[in-house]
Amino acid sequence: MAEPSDDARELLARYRSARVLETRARACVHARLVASIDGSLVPDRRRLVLTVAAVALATAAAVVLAASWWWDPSQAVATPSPRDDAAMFGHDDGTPRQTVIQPAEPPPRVAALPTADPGPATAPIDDVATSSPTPRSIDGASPPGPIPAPIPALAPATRGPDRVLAQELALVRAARLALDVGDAAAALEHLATHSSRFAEGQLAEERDSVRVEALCAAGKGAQARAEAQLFVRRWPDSTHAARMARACPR
Amino acid sequence: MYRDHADFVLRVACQFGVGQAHAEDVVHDVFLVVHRRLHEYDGRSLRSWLYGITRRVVAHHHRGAARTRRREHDHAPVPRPIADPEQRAAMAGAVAIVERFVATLDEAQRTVFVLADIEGTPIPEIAEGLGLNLNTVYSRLRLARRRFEAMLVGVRSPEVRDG
Repeated sequence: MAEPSDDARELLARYRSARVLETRARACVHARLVASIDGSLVPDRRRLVLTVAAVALATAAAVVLAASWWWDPSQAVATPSPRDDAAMFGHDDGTPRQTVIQPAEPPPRVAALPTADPGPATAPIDDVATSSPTPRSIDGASPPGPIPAPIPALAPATRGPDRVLAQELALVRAARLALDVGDAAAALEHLATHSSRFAEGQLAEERDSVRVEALCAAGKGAQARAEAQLFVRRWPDSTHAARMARACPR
Repeated sequence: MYRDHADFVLRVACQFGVGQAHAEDVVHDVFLVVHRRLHEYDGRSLRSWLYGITRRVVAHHHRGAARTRRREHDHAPVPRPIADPEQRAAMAGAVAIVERFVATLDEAQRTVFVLADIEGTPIPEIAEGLGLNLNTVYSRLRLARRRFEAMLVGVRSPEVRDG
């Protein structure tokens, strides 16, 4: 295939150097981004806590219902079939429906949580990205697909810096998931693996911020605060800097 | 990621017709989406992924801008063709020429031309990121390059330029 002419290359190079964010605009957009991200963290955390609370309530309600059935003499005559179980617990797989837990003091926003947005200004943008985050559909050459497959399945097919990023992402994501389910030790292990393999990786900043949270969750408050200070010094412009500054209070 | 790719996102936004003033809003919105959706990134071409997000954020932006224009009965001015040789030589001329050209391409050729020739993304990476056959990408790029060279001849030819 014919390469672009020298004129074309020169013009495109000039274009690339001309169409950039100026220093001031770059800093300004970054500051707005930090504020937006920082502002959206609290609702995310609250959403997680409320979701966990809803699951706990549902489990408790199921246990109470099961126990009351078990000790009810009128039910002891016949052994219930799986279908009876389904009818009692609300659906076929034996787990309680949301309606079962409603009387058991449900949090007022639980029903709306899965679709709740952190803020009205950003919600439509999220929707835009959710429809399909890759540009594959614009060519019509590939059918529009669901959310991309998990990283581990696709990582072998990737190459170069993006493959490395995928590996980094898998480790940081695993740490975040472990932390979200309360396994701080596992989170720290994933982060240590990331640190040894990608000391200066693209997600080093993210890794260090999650590590502060994991240390705090593991009860190592002093170390968490010390590393939080280091984080702010190392990444003063980070989107996590404000959160780190107030991480793990005494 | 912001540091490395903010300019790329800005260029793509402008190529989709977003003005410089609003392009910064688009850059902000794109990286906000990236922050929230990073866990969905599948490890393929990062630029292709960012391109797709930018394209959708711009579409969203245009819909909002269209509503605003309808409300205000305001119509954006049509960019004037560049005729002045000095202006053509300037950076602004390069921006106008390239973005005007990109706007004439269909979506398929535009995506490949932008990612390959403007941003320097390797062709195999583009093919993988877009889920396309390698030959398809080469074919689209060949057509786009041919049109770009023809456009350059027209821009540099006084007879063509001045009509």
